[in-house]
Amino acid sequence: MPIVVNLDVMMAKRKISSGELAEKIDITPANLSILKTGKAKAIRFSTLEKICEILECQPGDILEYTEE
Amino acid sequence: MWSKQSSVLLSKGLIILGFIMTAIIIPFVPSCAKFFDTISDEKPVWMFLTVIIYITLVFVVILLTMLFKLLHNISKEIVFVDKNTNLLRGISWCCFLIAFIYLVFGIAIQASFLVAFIAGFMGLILRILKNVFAEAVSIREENDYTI
Repeated sequence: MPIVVNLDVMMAKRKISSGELAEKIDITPANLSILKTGKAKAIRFSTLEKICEILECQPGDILEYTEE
Repeated sequence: MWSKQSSVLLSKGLIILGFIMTAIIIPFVPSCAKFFDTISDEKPVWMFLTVIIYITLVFVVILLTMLFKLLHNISKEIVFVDKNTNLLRGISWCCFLIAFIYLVFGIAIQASFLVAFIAGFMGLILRILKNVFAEAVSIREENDYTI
């Protein structure tokens, strides 16, 4: 998929663990793993909003479009 | 009280009945075929008819097995998965193969065209159901992978 999820990078910058982030945005660690590994087919605005709020970033910092 | 489980159980019971009926029919196929010759005005075809019915019974057993597996998955609440789509595909192909056999056999006995039509029509309905299932699997996957 040409949309790349850079959640790992942002999490490393903010020094936050997967478990902690999953708990704060109220999703299961398994779902966070799906998101991090790029297996997700879609992301809800509500999830994106919470991620941006916790990581203090913009959606563009997490999602990136690349040519296939 | 009638429930989803009771319905699945009834369907499973009917499939088991189908297996038992198939097992009972097996030894009587040649005599049934000979009986057909006595009531039919057409030339004797009992040998050919026996072979055709035995081939059909093989497909019927495969079909019943696949139906049982499908129901077993549904009873375990495993519904919209690729496994079930493949089972439906297999069942529909079994119907098409039975239809083809009776279509060819229609050269000898015209009445078998009716069996071919019924089997072919069932195969077509199941094929469409399989397409609906495949679409449902895709929607479920998209839903599962929406975070």
